Amino acid sequence: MPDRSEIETLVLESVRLLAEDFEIAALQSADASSTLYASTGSLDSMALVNLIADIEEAIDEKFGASIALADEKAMSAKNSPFRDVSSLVDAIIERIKS
Amino acid sequence: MNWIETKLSAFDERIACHEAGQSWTYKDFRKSIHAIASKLPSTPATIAIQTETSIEGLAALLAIAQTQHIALPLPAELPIVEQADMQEIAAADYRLTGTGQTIALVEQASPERPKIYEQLQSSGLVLFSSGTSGKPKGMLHNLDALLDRYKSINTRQDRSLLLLLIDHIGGLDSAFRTLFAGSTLVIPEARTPEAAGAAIAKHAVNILPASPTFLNLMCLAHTPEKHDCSSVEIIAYGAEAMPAPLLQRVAEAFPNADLQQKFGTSETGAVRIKSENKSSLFFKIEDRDTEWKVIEDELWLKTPSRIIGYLNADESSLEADGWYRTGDLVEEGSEGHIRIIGRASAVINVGGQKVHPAEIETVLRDIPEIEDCRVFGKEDPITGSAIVCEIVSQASHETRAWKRLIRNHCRVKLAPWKIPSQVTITQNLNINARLKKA
Repeated sequence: MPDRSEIETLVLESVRLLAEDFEIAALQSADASSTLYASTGSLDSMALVNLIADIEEAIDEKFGASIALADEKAMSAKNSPFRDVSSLVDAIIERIKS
Repeated sequence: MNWIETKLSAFDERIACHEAGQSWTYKDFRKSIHAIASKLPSTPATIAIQTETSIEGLAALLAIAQTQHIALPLPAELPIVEQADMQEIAAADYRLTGTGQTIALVEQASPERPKIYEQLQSSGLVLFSSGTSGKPKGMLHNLDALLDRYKSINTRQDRSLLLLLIDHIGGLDSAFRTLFAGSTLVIPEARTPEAAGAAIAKHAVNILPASPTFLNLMCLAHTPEKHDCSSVEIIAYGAEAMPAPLLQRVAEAFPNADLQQKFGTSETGAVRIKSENKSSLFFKIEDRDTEWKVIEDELWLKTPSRIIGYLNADESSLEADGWYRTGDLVEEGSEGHIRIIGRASAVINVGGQKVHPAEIETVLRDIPEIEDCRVFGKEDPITGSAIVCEIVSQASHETRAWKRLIRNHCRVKLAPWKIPSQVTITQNLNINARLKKA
């Protein structure tokens, strides 16, 4: 089981690469507190779909865990796991555990 | 003597077909038709055609024409399980098996005849297409009406390669056009680029009807460099959308060939068309038997050879007044020209935006390392559907690197919602029995 900092590194790397590809200036030097998909966030829904696919793939490649981030639970959660980097890391840990 | 017999007997000494190392004259072919006709039952029946050769399968179809029987062609290449399903759906009473002297009609137990057979007042033909539910979709043709379209075909001396099988409307159209013109059918040993190339060189084939997928495989296998394909004068492509860059590559690989687009559907038979010009994918329907119209981007056709109905599928695409809704989406150009842009059923809805897989595939194929690709939708909880692309490449990039390459390439050419969010890499795409991408 990878620790929190390893997952955070992986998420940040994914966010930065995506930000480069989609030219999202605000996220090119993202950190743990960066807002992602929220009313004040910098991602649109298409970028979010891409980010989720990137992260799922990277988790599978690096840690051999196949997870689905955009599941029913995530979609109906009161606090969206996609709002910022740290909530996304929490969601990943939770899914790898189960 | 019926018109089929009259027409074929005029070509007696000519070669009808080269198949499995054997050459058949038209006389041999007519003998085979007569031999099979003499074995047919006296009361109307449904007959599964499982002859060992394609040419004898064609002879069986012509033997059944102008009787009250129904033909169900089942080439040996079809998986056994599928053949069993098809016989069950079509309620086949007999199987015609063997080759030459060993051809035999075997009676078998069959389920109740489908109701739709009652509407048939001539010979019938059951063809299957891949259904959306997983079970093959059976359709009933009036075989006589289908054949009538070849009655006035002009005599020619072509050598035409038969790649599609005789359970496919495109294969049957190629075969009948060749035979009723007194030309020669060349059937390759296998339906591979290698075998096709060998057959073209050996028999100086001048007409090559093939799907874009198969032509792409031939280019990738360097078939025209390994085998002498200089005899090819006409490449007739159809059955699926042709990407413009592939058209260009095919033209370069076969410099002597005139590229002609063909069009037809399993439900209507072949429709005669004329391309706007050599390099254009736009065409005009020029067929005196066919009416057409475009409703909400979908092509509608009306032909006398339309199927009577489906054996096991919903008939909502068949209008009571004879129109058939093809499910093909078209773009209208100038002066009545149209271009096929994809299948209505393949359209992916991404967050309310309609996306045609073919458009994305065309853009992806511009990336030099991509040999072929297939784009499809996958359920996604955020946008309804996400775009997935499967690419064929020998290059050894990691998935992440591929994704970034694809994103950067697509970003300048496609709207954001059309950019694939998932990428998978394979060595080969699945090609189905109809030589199209599965």
